[in-house]
Amino acid sequence: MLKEILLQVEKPARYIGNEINMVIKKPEDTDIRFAFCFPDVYEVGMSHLGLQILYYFLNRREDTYCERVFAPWHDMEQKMREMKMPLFALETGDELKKFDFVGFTLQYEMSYTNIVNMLDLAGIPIWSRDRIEEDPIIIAGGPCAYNPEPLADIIDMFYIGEGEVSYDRLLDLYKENKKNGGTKEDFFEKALGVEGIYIPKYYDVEYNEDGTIYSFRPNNKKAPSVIKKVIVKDMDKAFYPDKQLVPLIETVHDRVTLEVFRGCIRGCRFCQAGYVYRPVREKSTDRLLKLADSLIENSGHEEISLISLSTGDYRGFKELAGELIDRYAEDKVSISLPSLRIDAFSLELMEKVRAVRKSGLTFAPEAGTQRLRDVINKGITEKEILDGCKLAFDGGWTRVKLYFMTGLPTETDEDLMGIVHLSDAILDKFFEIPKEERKGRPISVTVSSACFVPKPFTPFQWTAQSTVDEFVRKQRFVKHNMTRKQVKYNYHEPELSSLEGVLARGDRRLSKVIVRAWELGAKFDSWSEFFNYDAWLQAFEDTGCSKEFYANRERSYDEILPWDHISIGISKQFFIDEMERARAGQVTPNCRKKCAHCGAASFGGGVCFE
Amino acid sequence: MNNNIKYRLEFSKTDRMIFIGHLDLLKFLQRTMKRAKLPIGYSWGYNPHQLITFAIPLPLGMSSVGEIVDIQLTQRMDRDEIKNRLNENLPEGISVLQVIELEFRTASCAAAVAYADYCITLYKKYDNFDEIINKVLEKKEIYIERTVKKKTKTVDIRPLIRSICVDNTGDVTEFNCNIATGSQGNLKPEVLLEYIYSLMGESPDMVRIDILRGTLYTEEEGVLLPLCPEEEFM
Repeated sequence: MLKEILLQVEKPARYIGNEINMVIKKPEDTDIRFAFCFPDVYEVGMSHLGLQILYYFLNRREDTYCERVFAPWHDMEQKMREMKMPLFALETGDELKKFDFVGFTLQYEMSYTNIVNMLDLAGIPIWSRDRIEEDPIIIAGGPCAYNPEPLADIIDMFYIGEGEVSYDRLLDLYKENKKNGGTKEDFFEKALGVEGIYIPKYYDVEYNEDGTIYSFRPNNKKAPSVIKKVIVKDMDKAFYPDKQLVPLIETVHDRVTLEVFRGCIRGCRFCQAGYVYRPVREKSTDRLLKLADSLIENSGHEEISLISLSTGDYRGFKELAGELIDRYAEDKVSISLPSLRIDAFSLELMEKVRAVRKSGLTFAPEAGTQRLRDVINKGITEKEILDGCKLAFDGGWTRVKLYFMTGLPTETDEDLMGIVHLSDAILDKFFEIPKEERKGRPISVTVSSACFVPKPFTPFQWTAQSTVDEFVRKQRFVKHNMTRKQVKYNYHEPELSSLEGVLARGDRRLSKVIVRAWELGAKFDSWSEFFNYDAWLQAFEDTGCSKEFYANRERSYDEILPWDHISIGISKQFFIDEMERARAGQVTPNCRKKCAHCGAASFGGGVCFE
Repeated sequence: MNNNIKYRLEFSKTDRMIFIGHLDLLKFLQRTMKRAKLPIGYSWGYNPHQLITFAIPLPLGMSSVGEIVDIQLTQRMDRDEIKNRLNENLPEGISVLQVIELEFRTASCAAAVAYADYCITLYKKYDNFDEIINKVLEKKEIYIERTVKKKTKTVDIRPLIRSICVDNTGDVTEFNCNIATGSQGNLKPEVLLEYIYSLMGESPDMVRIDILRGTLYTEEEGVLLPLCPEEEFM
């Protein structure tokens, strides 16, 4: 039956597993079955590093079999529903109900309706309270879990932090509890003692008349009042797979990934990742070179990517990149270096890694004027950008991509005009090159502007997001002034960013909005061909929740925020100070220049102790 | 100067692996060559690629026990060693059946392929299937309409059919056929099936029909020779 279905859907290889390095075990020989679910389509999920790490991390336990599940594309979903085929895991083809744990990774807010859809396809009740003893435990982690509240009524337990730290303890407890005949409830109560575990049902929320939170308190003595994230202290000692699943079809990032470090020293004030992954923890160059060798050997990939939030900030970067280039030139393995700052050294490197193909250069100034870049603490100056472009143009690059955001706190039309001026200045740099030296190559500048979404655990967590109408006006304003024909202007859909803004800073009352939106047909929201804004607006109306309350309202510093019971190790006072510095246009130096005493030193490792 | 040694590989593609399309299979084989640490040769030029040539793509959804690729290695290797190293690095559903060394001047498998065996299993039993096939084989010419790039033309497919043998002993009807495959003349098994079903006044439900491709052949003076002959025939 599966074969017949697969012959009728697009890209059937999404559903067959059997990739190189897939782990094969006999489920009956294990005690714990864990379904790792990525709530998006296969090609997106398989490009995700966290999946690769946790898959092998969990499977290194003999008693555990971790399998993978992705959101079936709509054609497959339709066939599955027609044939009453429940959602299955790729390794064994078994349905999700047979698993002990069904774990979702929360990478972006707009994947939440897919979680609901996947539970439904699996025949598992959507609401946590409706699940019975025989249903799997629904657990979720990942960056969006730092504000777990919008999913609080759907997910049974959240894992706050890095998976390598507490999963062994959690699974041991589960196994022991199962062996002793304990119930799910017994396990949940025991899990309250595991660092980083948050179980929403053991907390009660009361609200003020204006809709803000009045109190947030545990209703179980064992439930900690604050759940602190757990992180790996020493990256060299932490588990990292020596192989990687190699998909049989092309995925978004078709390459092996070498994680160079976690965290970021920069402290851009809009960037949640820059705060929640603090402090920076590097792997040693020796360890990285060893890992690179085994990853390439075991995968046969033709490309290795050095990833982190800002790879150029790795202290051993020159040595590492140089050595990798020398090592792999003969084996035709290319090296990709995302998130590099453009300077003479990085250009020289790129020259080496991409022998001929001069692909586009990317800059992320984020804001159009120096004033606003200071507000957001984006430590890049116009001079640096223009110097970088000059170097690049001299070196033969002619395609430049620029990333901006609109709707940043304190933004004015002057800042928006700055986007236009900066793009024009870059063009002018190109035309400074004498015509005969340009060799007829055309220049193209692509400007993309995203809509700013204030995120929890950033200094901007209190600020109001621009409304959809404001975003539209801003985009039109930039577009109207962007008159040079060599500049192409792209912008994100404000409706989508606006919903992202709601979910990012939402509380647990949003669970019903998410489920209602799904009932009204919302899924794959981050795919423009599926995005159904009207369904969401209807869902707010049907549930009596106000979208504006969450997205467009400025919060006061003393308001209880929905994520106040989660700690990322950085004090609220630090964020308040940073917000005030932002208002004053004061920059905060990066972690290596000067410690800002954010609180991340409490983890006892990383850059704080370099 | 190219000192590469050419080898021809015959492999099967069955089970779950039938859902991998041709371009993905190529990339998959390239990575397998690297994992198996074979000294694969590369083309010259700015974007060097591995020297791997397919005889003819296998459509997605079809199984095969006779797929052929030619590869070039930079040094001579034992044929069993090549086969074993590849098989150790291949997932269930693809396995190398045999490896032969070619003289460097041998025409590439893509240029040489002319015919293929197919074993086709239908989803029910047609009692009069023998008669239908006899009718097909008795015809001197079979004109069908084919649409290529929005242009409809009429082609004679009879010369493209060498043989069809029916096995109606099981629960469902099965038949083997040997039909033209390659650049000199090509008959898709689906097209043949459409025609056969039209004689029965039906149209085939393709997703329920199993098609297994068998041996690929080259033709020399009217005689068919397997592209990858077993050792004793060499």
